Amino acid sequence: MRLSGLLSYFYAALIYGFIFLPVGVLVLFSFQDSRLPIMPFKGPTLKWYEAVLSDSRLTESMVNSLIVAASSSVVAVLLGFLAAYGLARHVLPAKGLQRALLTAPLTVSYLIIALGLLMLFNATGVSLSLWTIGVGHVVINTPLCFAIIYSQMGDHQVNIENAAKDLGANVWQTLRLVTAPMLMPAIVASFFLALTFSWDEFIIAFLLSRFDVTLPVEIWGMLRSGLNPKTNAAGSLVFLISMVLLVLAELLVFRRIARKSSDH
Amino acid sequence: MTATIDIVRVSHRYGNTQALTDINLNFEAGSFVVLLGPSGCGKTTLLSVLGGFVTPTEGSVFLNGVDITHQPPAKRATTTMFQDYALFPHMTLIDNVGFGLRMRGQSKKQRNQRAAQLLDLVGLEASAKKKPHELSGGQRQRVALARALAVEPEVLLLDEPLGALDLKLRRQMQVELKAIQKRVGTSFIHVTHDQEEAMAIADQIIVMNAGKVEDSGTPESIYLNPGSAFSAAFMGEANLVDCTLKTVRSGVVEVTSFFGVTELAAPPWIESTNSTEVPALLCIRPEHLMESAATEDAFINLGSATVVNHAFFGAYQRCEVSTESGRTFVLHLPQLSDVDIGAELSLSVPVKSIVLLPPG
Repeated sequence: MRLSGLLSYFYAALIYGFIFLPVGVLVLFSFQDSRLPIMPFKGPTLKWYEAVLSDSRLTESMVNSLIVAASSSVVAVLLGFLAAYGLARHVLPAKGLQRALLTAPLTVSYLIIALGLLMLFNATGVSLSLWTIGVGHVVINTPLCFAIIYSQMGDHQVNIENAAKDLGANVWQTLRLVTAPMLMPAIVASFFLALTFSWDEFIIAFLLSRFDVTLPVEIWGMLRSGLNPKTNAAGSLVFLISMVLLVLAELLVFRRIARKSSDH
Repeated sequence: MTATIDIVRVSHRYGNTQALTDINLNFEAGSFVVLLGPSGCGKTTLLSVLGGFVTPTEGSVFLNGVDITHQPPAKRATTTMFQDYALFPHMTLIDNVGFGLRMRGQSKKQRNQRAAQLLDLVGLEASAKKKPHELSGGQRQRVALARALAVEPEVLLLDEPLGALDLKLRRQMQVELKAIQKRVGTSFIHVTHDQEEAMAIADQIIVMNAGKVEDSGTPESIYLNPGSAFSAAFMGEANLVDCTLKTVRSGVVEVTSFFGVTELAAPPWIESTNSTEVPALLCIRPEHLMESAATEDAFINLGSATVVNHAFFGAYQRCEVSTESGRTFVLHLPQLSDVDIGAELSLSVPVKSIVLLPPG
């Protein structure tokens, strides 16, 4: 093999190592049969997983995370879809500015958004809870859902929507029976993205929560008392669930899109 | 179900562009009307006005005498068949066809029964469970027709529905469209830029140009007796010759042109009281030009001409000839004529076939 070939293999190995080595180490030491997640590796054991799953605070925070992720993603997709429909199908004043305003939160740091919301909630006397975390996640995920769905709204669908109206459908029937099903791949894709973003989001969840916390915040709490294979096990579980979501998205959405486009 | 349509003084502007100017038309119930014209002539805009997708800046549209100008598409007794078919990609054919009935609150059983009937009408009953992407262009076209007819519209509006099909399929679909229209009796208003298609299917043709109606009538009357130079040239080929007219007595004009002076029946557009000379155009169809010197009064002699171009078209031979005075004519000669480039022909034309048109 030529040198350039060898180099490219080496480069690829380096990239993948750089990305996945930390995760690999995290997962490996979650099986560590000792009190510290450091070299040398002794094990394997499942006792830390047992400890995580029998820790009611951890399991509760995991359920909280799922509730917040699922509900905030549904709201973000709904708002993003309606905004995309409005901007793509209606003549609105200052359309470009409105679109820019809708996508602008993507460029603002989570810390700024969290601080802003925190001040707002304090000023209006709203007490911090899972609800406030959910609001924060809707704020960060709506622009994302909007951008994905808006990019898939083409002019070729306008006639199809007009056909539905021509056959007697009102605006809501057209949205529900024609527009949304046509955009289902984009809608499901943005839902899964929002779900994974919300699932492991930390800063907003940390600043906007009090008694009920999400999993990343709970893990951060555990880290304050020092490194421990139990935190590795909890982290591995977070990673596992993210991977499951990713695989689901792949199977449910991207395969279907690929199959559809190969039909044409 | 079928209805009359009256279009009264309709004008429409898109920003600064005048798309329609003072359109006045009446369509009889149950007729197959074709709006014919080049792209950008306003025919699709007029169809959108009828369908309710465009509200005209001026004027009104009446359906069976009721003003529907401001009714939204969903409330109108018209349905539109879109150029790109606009089928619902995520629904099976039977659900596509049944959609309008679903919006009218029919039960699944009822609407499936009716949708199956319509798929049967267009010959696709076996594909009821398929989705649009599994069909060919011609089949999609039929589904779109079935879907539009399922709601039993008073008027069906067809926006260049055959544009995307290849020639053979297009001819076949024209025959089918016409047959289905006769069977269901609904008024069809069909937009196209293809004059052969218009002649194949229309009861009434409306020729449009630059947002105005140029001509209106049966295919035969528009072809044989066009109302304007544009209409004559758009409906088939036409040789247009400059001339001047002078009324010599009631109903008769004196025509002066390159071939000399002759008397013809006065066209309806000329004022009989006016005895000054007016410019006009002589319209001569290529198949009316004859290769022979006229000896009878029923013919006009156009002098001799040289063949400059020649092609075999199957049923006839198309020749371009040039006269001594530099005028070019197109003529159709019989299939087996023996002519070639450079040949000298004597041209004549039957007086009966000449149409006098206002200039430009």
